[in-house]
Amino acid sequence: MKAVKIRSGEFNNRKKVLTVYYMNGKAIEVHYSQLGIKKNLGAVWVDKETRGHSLGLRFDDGKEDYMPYDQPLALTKDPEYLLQTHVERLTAVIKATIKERRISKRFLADQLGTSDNQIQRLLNPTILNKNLEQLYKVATIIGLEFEWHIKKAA
Amino acid sequence: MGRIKRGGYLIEWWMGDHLPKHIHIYKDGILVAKVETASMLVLAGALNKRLKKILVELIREQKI
Repeated sequence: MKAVKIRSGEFNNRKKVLTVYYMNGKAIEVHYSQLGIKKNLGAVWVDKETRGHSLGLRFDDGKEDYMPYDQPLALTKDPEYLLQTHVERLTAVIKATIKERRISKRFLADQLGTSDNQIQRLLNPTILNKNLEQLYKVATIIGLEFEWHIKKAA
Repeated sequence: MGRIKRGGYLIEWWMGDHLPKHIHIYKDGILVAKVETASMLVLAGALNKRLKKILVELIREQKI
């Protein structure tokens, strides 16, 4: 599973901004209001229980909460994260349909004239560079169809 | 609170005053699955029977 780890975090109670630094070099700023934070922060730390996939937050009243690694990425509409979530959802729906209809990957490979390995790659959510023609063929075989939507950003 | 522990699993979702759209599930610090809560669609990883049961319980209790 492709998940970005958090390297560190810092906060500014005056500006009400939390900055998250990721292991891949990204730095993302989010306003407290975007996270539903109404109190000032007293401390932030990289959470060990999730091995760096969350940021621990302690408020000035002593209460604690945790923020998953992907929340700032989604709030700021990080393009790499958005692509990954779209591919994840797409492959998840295809895989669930394949399971429900008891269609073998061998059958799909034969229909597409490709290898089992290529079908595995096609349905692997961590591989973002997909062969769309093959994905469309798989969707048609299992009784799904694609609908594309694009809209102005909110 | 965006986190709950049950049956040896740590289940986490976004901060804020809303029910989660998706959850992350960790076991011994390893991210084992990402699940869309409304549909129980497994977005990444896999769910075993025990984990499915835990999630159904949490949904019934309106925790997630």
